[in-house]
Amino acid sequence: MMVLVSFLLSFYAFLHFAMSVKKHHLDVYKGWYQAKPLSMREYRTQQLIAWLALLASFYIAVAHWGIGIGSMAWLMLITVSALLVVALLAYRLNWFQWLWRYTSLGLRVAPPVSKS
Amino acid sequence: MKGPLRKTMTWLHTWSSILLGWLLFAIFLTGTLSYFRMEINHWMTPEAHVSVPSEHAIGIAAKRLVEVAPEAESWNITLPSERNNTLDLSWRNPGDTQRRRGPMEVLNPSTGEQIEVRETRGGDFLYRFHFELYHLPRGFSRTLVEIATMAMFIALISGIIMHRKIFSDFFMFRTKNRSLGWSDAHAVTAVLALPFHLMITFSGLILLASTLVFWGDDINRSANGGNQARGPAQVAAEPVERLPAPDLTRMLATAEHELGARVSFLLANKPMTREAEYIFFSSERDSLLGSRFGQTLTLDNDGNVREASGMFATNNQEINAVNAINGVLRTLHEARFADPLVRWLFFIAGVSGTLMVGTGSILWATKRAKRQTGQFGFELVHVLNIASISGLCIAVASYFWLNRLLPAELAVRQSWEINGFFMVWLLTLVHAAIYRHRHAWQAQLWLAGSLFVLLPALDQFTSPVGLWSALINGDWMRLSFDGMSLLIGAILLLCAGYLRQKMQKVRAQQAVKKRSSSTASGTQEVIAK
Repeated sequence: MMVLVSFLLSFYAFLHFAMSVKKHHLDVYKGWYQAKPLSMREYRTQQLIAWLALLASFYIAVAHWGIGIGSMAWLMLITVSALLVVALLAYRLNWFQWLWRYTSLGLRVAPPVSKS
Repeated sequence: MKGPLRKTMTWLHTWSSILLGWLLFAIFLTGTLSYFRMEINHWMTPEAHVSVPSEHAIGIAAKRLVEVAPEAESWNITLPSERNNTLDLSWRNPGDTQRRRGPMEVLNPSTGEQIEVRETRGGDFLYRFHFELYHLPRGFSRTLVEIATMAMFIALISGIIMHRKIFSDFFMFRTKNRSLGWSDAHAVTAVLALPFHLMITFSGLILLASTLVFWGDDINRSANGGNQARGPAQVAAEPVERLPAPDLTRMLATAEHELGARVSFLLANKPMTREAEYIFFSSERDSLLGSRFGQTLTLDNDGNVREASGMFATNNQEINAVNAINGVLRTLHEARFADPLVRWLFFIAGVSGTLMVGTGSILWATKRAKRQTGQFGFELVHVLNIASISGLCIAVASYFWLNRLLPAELAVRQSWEINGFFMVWLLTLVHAAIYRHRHAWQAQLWLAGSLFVLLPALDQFTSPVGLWSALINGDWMRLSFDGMSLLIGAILLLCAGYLRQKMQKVRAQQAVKKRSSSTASGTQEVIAK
């Protein structure tokens, strides 16, 4: 259970990391939101949320496994969640969009700047 | 190789890895599979599938050992656990040397029936192949593997330095572009699993370090010989007074209570005598320190506690920082601490490492395909790529197939499995050499993928217990193996599908070009007239 929470948090973190990259930002908003390219404010917010989520996921993993095994297992855990984000971006962009639209904190705190 | 740092690093990266890339791929693939060594062993002895773990195992073991080996010097009892569903007994008769493996039996822990398992090397073959290949002198092959590991380490470091946009390309995977697909796949599998790659390469480098340095004693031998180092080599048989059989069930309960963990292994020295020692090894561990087993507890013949030892107190080994670090690295490298979930995570990271090595070798060839086709060096790399990547996958799959298809009572069975493995590998090499420009890649990937994907079906039909009852009985080891082969098969089939798509695209483009050039020449003729 704790492991699942840790995994989901790290996945959530990578969701935000991906959205702080220009190209993915462009891809995700294409055809959905008339957004300008990634702004500095968006970049900072996304990065902050991502790092916090990543830290929380690390904390939970260590609490569950202990520092030695926990840190190792956490590294493998984030590898898998990052791979998942890559797969979503490359093959299921609409799922990514859905997740971003309904679950992300970053979109609420720092919405993209509209073109018009 | 003069020039800016990045260019130098690119050069280093390319050449340090392509020379040993094929070996590295084999090391990575067999090593990744070795995370499931126990599961592979279990899968490859289908006779033991009927066995179901039970609480009475220790009682059955005690009864059986008292019956068949009351005079023995020592007893070894491996209790059924998460990663072992049989009850394995072995003992050493008085006068036997320590080195030779004594008589052993595999029992069904529920019924106490003896199980005749087929003769196979199982996952141990792949595990050994991982660091000492096969049939080569041990020192030589270990040195070779160590050199490959060193090349891998160099490739990792230079790869990190040469990667221009490590963070902005973090999630980048552009499959649609023809040339970027392989390089993105290479970068993604490398960067995302980088902690794993660094850990596994560095610990591997240290574990085999003694093969390259010539001072110090031979770590290889002492590290493997943990069991053999115990006690004198030859024990004279003396008549000793025998006591009545100990109540192992009660002792196990005591031990599990004292250790606060489940016990997976019991070693009895001089059982049923006054000096008897019953050493219980706990299976669980919550730290990276220590040796193969966690804590131990020693009881005497009446079931009283003699001594308890913690993580550090391994058998008489010197306790120092170097040993401790070595132990931690070994534990990390082999993921000994892993519960099933972490094991799967390590496995996935290992698969991505395997993909990284594979895509790297392919990348070398695709980058040079246009300019160098027909040159000897290029053709050699091309053929070796096919044979060592898809060919090895076919060979591993056929190793599993042979295990189930060869008759169980065949003489020298286990060497036929291994011979089959190498013969298939050789065949793929020949096939790759002949058809290297005509679908060799695709054909081999299709074959390897289908062999892996069909393994669960083979399992269903050639095991005395069907998969459905395995699910009901909770035989997770077997199901893990089948899940693993499905995953590997799916990846191979996806690669094959990707190649096919790409080839069709190329063909369509060529057709368009041909048509347009023919129409162009047609119009030219018209104009000329």
